[in-house]
Amino acid sequence: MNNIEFATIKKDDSKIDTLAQHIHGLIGNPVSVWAVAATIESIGIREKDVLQDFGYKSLYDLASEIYRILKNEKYRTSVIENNDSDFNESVLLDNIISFLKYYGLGLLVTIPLLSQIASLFIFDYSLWAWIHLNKAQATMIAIGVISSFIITGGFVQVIGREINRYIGMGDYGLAKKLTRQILLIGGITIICSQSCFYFLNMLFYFYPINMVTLSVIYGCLIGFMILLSSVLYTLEQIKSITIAVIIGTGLVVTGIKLMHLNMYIAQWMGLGATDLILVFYMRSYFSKMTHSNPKDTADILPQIEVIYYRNYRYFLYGILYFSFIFMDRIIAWSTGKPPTSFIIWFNTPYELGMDWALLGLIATVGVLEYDIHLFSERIQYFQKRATYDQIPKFNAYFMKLYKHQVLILIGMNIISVMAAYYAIHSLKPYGNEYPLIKDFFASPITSNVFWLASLGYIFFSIGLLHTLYCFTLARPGYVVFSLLISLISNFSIGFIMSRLISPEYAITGLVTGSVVFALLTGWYITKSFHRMDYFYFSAY
Amino acid sequence: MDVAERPTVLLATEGSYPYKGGGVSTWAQMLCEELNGQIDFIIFALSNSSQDKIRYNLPSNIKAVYNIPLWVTEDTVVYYNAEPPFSYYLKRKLRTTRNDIDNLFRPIFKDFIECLKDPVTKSVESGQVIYGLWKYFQYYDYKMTLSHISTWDHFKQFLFEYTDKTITSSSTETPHLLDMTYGMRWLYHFMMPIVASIPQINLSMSTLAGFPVIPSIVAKFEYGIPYMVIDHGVFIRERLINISNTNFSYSAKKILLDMATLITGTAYHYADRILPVSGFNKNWEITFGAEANKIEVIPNGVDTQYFVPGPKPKELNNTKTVVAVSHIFPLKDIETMIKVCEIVSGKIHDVQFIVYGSLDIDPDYTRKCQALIKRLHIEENFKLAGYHANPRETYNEGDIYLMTSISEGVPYTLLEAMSCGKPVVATDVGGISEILKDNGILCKPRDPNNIAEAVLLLLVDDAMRNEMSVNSRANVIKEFSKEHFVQHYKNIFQELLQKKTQKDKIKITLPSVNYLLRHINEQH
Repeated sequence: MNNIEFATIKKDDSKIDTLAQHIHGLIGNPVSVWAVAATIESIGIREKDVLQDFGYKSLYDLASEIYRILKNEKYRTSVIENNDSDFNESVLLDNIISFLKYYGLGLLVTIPLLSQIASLFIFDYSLWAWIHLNKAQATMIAIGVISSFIITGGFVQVIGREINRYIGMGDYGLAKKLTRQILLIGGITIICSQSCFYFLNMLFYFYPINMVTLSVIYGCLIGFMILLSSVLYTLEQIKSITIAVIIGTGLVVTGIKLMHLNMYIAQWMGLGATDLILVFYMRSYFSKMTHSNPKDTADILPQIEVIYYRNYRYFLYGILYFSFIFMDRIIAWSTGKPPTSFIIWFNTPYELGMDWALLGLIATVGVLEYDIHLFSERIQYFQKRATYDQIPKFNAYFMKLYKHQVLILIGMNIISVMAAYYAIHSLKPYGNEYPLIKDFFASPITSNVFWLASLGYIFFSIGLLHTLYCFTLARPGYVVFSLLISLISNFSIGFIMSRLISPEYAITGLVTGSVVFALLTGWYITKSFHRMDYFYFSAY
Repeated sequence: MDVAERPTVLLATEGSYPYKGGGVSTWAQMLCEELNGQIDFIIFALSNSSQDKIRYNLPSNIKAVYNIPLWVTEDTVVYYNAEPPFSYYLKRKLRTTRNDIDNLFRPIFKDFIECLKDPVTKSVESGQVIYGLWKYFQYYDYKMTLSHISTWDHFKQFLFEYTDKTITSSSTETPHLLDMTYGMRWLYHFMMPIVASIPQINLSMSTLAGFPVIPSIVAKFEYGIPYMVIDHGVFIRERLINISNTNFSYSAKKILLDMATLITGTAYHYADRILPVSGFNKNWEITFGAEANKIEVIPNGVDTQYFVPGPKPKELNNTKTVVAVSHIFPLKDIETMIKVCEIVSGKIHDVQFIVYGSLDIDPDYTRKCQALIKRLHIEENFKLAGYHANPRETYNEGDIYLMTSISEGVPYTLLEAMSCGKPVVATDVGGISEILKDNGILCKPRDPNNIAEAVLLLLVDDAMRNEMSVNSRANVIKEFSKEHFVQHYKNIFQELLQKKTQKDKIKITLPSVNYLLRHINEQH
């Protein structure tokens, strides 16, 4: 490379410079003389031309000269500046607009739920609730709702992952095919599980048959709605879900108020219609996308074992998640003095406290959305900027980011809890005018449960933040393990306290389980973030 | 492994047969079809996705197609072969421990890294490392091993040492964390063929001197099976052009090019025969480690019974017509062709230039060409006619065939046009001069005046055109017919099948690989 032989024909420096600029425009800083030689050849300059056109004996000699020129400082200006101060920049709410955007997006998810609360206040009815439900009705509907969430929890996770996988590949056909299969299996699982409950009840007679029938019908219809909504949620069609829920709710109100239907019939009609509208939206979306993104592929899904293998941890997570969320209720509702009439019996003050606390948790969902967006954005940014010797700083930066995100989350949680407390508490003076409000504040259990549940949810949301990190880094295994231990803690402590002291002390199980969840996942996250370079690399 | 009555050849491809069309696929389909009844084939196809669809009617002597999708992230191995159930691979996962990774894999990986530091001269060691890694991955899990923290730390350290320390940290050549992340992930993807088990074969061949040659190298070490490399283009040259042309950082390009250089050198070193389709490839092959005495040029062949001269369509009977069959993208230099048309239309006002080929390969370039046609006001003379399903008809529409490429191998379209008796004007790049000889006019690339002069000469001089037409077809029948091409391969197959070869594993010198082999013999 160093011994370039010059030919007798005079070299034309301006031509060489022009060629060097052209090659630089194509390949930038060349990796080798051969890279330059191949590029020169690819633009139609042949071995036989170089002597006549450039004055060099061979194409390799010409390439060597161009390589030498392109290695000059003029062409080797830095593109990426490495500045240690980047790693020291503040990450605490550094981008308010971005925060508001992602916080808002996170809250969008709650719109269908908020529409139900609004309906309950305005019309006394929603898709599956009624302000004046008696305890028996509330118990059976609650069992239907809880069972549907737990049964579908795993499927919802799998739907989210698999649809995203194939849509990420631009393959709407396969996404549709797999969605259909998961929905089919999910639907069959809902029907089979609810049927099992029905037949077990026939054997052991937990509840009168007509009560169980109610629960099973609600459980199936709500289960289908959750499955279908999760598809549209993954497809970012929140608007469609909201429309379906609003139309369904409208049908319930119409059925009761105008058609004077029995409440159950009206609600089943509303839920059924919601399910059908969701199916319609889902089919329309896939149909539109498969037509506008045609793919001439083999349309083959992997072996079913492979799909199971890559999803089983997420599936377990989905089931454990909802089991954890509802565990304390089941414990609280299955004891009392005098003993409950049936194996599980709705405890109104307890449920009101839990619902009250849920308002605070919902308000922090948006923070998680922002946190994970910021994390993904920063990791890509600093991957490009950190050099080998800056890897410790890279890892330290993410530890700092993590701590700040936890602080923001706790801060937002406290604000949300206080807002939820004062928002509801501000209604108290109207108790004399509205018996419903008076009933709400009738039992001190409600506010006790609210405070403890809110405390639990703060820890739980920290655990959820850790979970999102783990999922982003493709490490669901430890989350499942942590959640399992947390569920066991939730059950053990909740059971003991509720039986030793009073039913509402089941909430201590939720608090303990949430603390365990936050600590176990936190330990793993701390370990991972100290080696973020590795955990990010291996997240494929 | 006994030579069966009807030998089986492993044919490894990348990004082509049987999932994509193009020259290599035409070649592969023709070879397999013509040897039906004499030789069986097993196809190892490195592809982009597990969803690729087979585009050809496979002849019955293709006994299996193993799809090896390089860019699927999760447990790709399950796609290779439908035979073993997933549980078979799950056992590998359960068997893989940190101890195995540290004691068995890591020393070999370290040797691999050493090879990568000096990719031009480490072909011998690289072959041994490839075999060692293959052996390891027949027992242990690929993904768990390559994504293990000790593998990552070692790779990171390597990349740090690999960097020129004289470069300041602000230089574009300093590797960043992203280069390390992508570098290791690329290694994971490109080396995927190393997980595939080798079926019962007697001979193997790869359509390029790149990653598809891995099973051939392994088969040579494990069973002493000879292999050949068929260079349609030159893999390393194409990688040098394509990778250099990306927006990747300097370090990322360097990693990718060093990987390509290493695999090419290794492929050439262990190959029994290297069979380029044109002599043009030879210089590159020798530069990157091929021994000259292993190289033999076997040009592509066409079906001369199918591609026959035919009448021009009535509507073009009185119009001088220039035809090209080419996808619209920069290497074909359609812009120069358009400028040629402008010059020619100045002399022959109703001349027609018709280009048949996909407009979707590089939409930006297509738009650029369309704008140029408009700017030069030659919309009436120059047609981008899009893809045509029957190329024979298209060749016979023209009085002459034109090719303005700035880079080529041995294009089938040129042979087919010549077989249809079309006189050719083509740029003198790649192996084109070897096909054309004196039966067409060769021009300098990117020189519209030079090319236009040749086109005008042929369009105007009927006698010359007719003579070239007859000679073109005669030349193809003589040297580039399908029969000629198949016979050539049959001779080489026969020669290699009779060749007594040693299993290269007995010659392994690397302690890391020998330790692994001893361990596997004792434990499994």
